[in-house]
Amino acid sequence: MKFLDKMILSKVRKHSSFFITEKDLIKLRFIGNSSILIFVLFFVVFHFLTHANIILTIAISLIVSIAYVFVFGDYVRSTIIQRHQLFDESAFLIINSLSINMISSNSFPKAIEFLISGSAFDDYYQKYFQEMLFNMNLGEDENTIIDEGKEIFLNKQYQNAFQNIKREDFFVDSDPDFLFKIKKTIKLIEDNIIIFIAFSCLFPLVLSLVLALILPSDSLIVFVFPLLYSLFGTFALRFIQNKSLSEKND
Amino acid sequence: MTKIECSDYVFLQGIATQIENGENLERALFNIKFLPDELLLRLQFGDELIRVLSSIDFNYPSMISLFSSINYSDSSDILKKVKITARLIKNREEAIQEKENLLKIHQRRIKIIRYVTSVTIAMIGGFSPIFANIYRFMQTNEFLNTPSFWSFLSVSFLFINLLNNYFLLKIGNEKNIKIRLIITLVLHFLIVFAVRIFYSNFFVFS
Repeated sequence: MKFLDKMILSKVRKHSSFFITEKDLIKLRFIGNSSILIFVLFFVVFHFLTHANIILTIAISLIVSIAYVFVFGDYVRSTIIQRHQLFDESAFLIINSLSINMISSNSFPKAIEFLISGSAFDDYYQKYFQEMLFNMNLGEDENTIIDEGKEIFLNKQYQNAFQNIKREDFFVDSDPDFLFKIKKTIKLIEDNIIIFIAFSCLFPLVLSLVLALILPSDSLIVFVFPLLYSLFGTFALRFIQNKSLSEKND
Repeated sequence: MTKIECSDYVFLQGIATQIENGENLERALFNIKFLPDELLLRLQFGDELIRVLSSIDFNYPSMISLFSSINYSDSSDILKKVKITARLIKNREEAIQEKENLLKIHQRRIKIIRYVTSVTIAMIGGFSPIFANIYRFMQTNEFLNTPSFWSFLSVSFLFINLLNNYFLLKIGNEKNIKIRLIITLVLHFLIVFAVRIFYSNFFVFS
């Protein structure tokens, strides 16, 4: 389980650990455990259907279960990242309302309290701010809490604004970053889509046809191909995602 | 959740102007006339303001927290900030709209490609027993027509089809991925069976 966590969530844990919910972890655990089940199942099916030698059967079922973990794990991972990006898109509202709350209440804990009462139906970041409030009530230093609290924002501008929330002039009054980011995302998608489409149309078709002619259709090695494809596709998706994520940190 | 007729920007701007004219937040909500009667009734009955606002379906749900302290103070500084935020929302909405228009072209392209590849792969999957026969033909020099309905090759084509759809859906940022994949699965089986029925008849009659 630890290994699975490291493999799939390593980067996510660093950037957006606040957005990993209990449900995601349960899903991940389920994927990890069911991959063993899938391994056994495929081993039994292959063994009784083909009577191929054991090492080949084990190898193929191992690849099946690894590909399974990889594709489904990546699905969970991308939902977490998407959640964080959605949050970041409306983060300016949180900072601005905090700033307004600061003016009317003149104290940071009070401002956070107002913020939480306002977003009563949004649960992802609410817990984060609740914890912040809780720590402040326990008597931790306000400034260190603010310093650490900025981590929830992906964007440097927002981090800065949050860090200086106590000063009145820090306020998100324009976001050139956002427009820039949108342009970059479009460009990224435009650039990568063509590569991806070319691969995703040609790669599966050509290779499967060639493989089908080279190998007998009831050979187990035929299964290597979709698994290779799944690995490739997941890597490509992950690459695009990481790229758009790292650009957010610039 | 209730939908309001105006955009978030217009809503916020309207409230800011009302407060500038000296109304309080509750009166402003009555005056801007964007809220449906049902919510206004709830306000009249004395329901908590934030709770009423929370039941509105905004594009930016976090906007509600902006109102949480407007009520407690009436400094012009706050009004200025609210107005700036409203303008930001407007800018963002425009930018997002522009982005979506651009991406829509790509999405349409991806959709077409998804359908075409999906049908092609399903058809090849349907013809896959022929590959087995060709393979045997190359080895033994005699062509046997023994269409088997189940082979590893056809299962592997099913996997490829599902994966291909999944990746393209993910790249196109589509929603309801699971439902679309189930539709693909059904479509794949339909096409495979159609193709097999077609060519098993074809071989019988010829």
